[in-house]
Amino acid sequence: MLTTNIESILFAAAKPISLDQLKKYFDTSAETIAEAVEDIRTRYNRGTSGIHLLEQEGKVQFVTNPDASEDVTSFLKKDATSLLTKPSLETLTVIAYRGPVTRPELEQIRGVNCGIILRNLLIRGFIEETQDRVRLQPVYSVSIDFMRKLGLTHLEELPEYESFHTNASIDELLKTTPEEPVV
Amino acid sequence: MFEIQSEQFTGPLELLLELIEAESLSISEVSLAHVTESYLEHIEKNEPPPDELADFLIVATRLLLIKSRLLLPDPIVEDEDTSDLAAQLKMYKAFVELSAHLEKQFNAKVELFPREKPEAIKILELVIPEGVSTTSLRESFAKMLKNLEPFFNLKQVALERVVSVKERFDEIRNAIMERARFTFRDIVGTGRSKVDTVISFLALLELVKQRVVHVAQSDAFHDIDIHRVD
Repeated sequence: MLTTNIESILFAAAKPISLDQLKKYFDTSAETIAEAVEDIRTRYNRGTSGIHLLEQEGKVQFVTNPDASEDVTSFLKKDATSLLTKPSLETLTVIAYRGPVTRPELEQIRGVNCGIILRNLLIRGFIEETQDRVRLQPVYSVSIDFMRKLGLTHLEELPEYESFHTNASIDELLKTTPEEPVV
Repeated sequence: MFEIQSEQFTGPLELLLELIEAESLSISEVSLAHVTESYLEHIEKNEPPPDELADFLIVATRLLLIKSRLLLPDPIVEDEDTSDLAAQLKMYKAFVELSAHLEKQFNAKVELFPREKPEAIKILELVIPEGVSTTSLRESFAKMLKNLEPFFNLKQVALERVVSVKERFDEIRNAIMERARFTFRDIVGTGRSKVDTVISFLALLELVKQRVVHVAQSDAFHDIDIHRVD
């Protein structure tokens, strides 16, 4: 019943819905919501389904099947997206694999000030900035819009995602960022 | 304009990676020391934009430190930071390699589409007038049907008439085949209605048109003589 109602809400809402919002609305545990969403995903994210469930940073949304992209694009006459510059691409890669990531961490990996590029990516809607209450600074993750552009319903679909997302030696290297972020 | 340029500018790690890969070396302190001079030369020739200059210079000092340590066989200061550059560069390289996949995905036009918000057409709420009940709805529907009755009847009459003309047509034709001639009054008789007379007349006209019969009338309102056309 809960699963069915969540499924209906996701269909009717036509926008990303946060799991937290669902949890509050149904007054239940995060685990129960996660189970329901997992059930929906299992039923939808398969080749024969025209609709897939996309999840990113605690938000879910129904999207089209990746294999249908070409037809959907031409039928709906959607514009093709512009190309990414190399620095944009690098930054997005780090954010996708390591997100939510802080600016110093990002700069430690890229070895260069990323202020301008972060701002540009925020303006283009490819990344999102949220305040990390533990780290007391903004963190960046790729947006649902960017995932849609990549045709991904989950970041885990990226090659070697797990090994780069939770990587002890990268964690170690990132810890050695003593300097204050360049302002 | 400046921002676009600075975004396009090669970062220090990217430059280092290019230099090392140009010499087909693997990333190590030795290879870093090896490319130190080319690195310094490069930033001198192509001055990095001001907001990235510091990053380039930090890497330059780290390179020089690595090089000096290799030149001095017995390093006095054991600084962690010197070895970090190689590790950092390896990490950077790994992400650059991963970015190739992202780029491929991005350019592959595999975009996923969400349901779009419908256009903001605000339909007025359905307001049911006071006093409306199922009974009153039924009553008004019955009333409407009653108003339509004459119309339905009209159609019914028209249908009957069409059928009658066809029947009368056959009657007259059969009659003329048997008798060769008779008059319109023979058909209509005396007791028939006005409508019936009209139907007979229409049937007769049709027979004339089809050249089955020939008709003659001596004067207005006189009887019509009907002859068979042989």
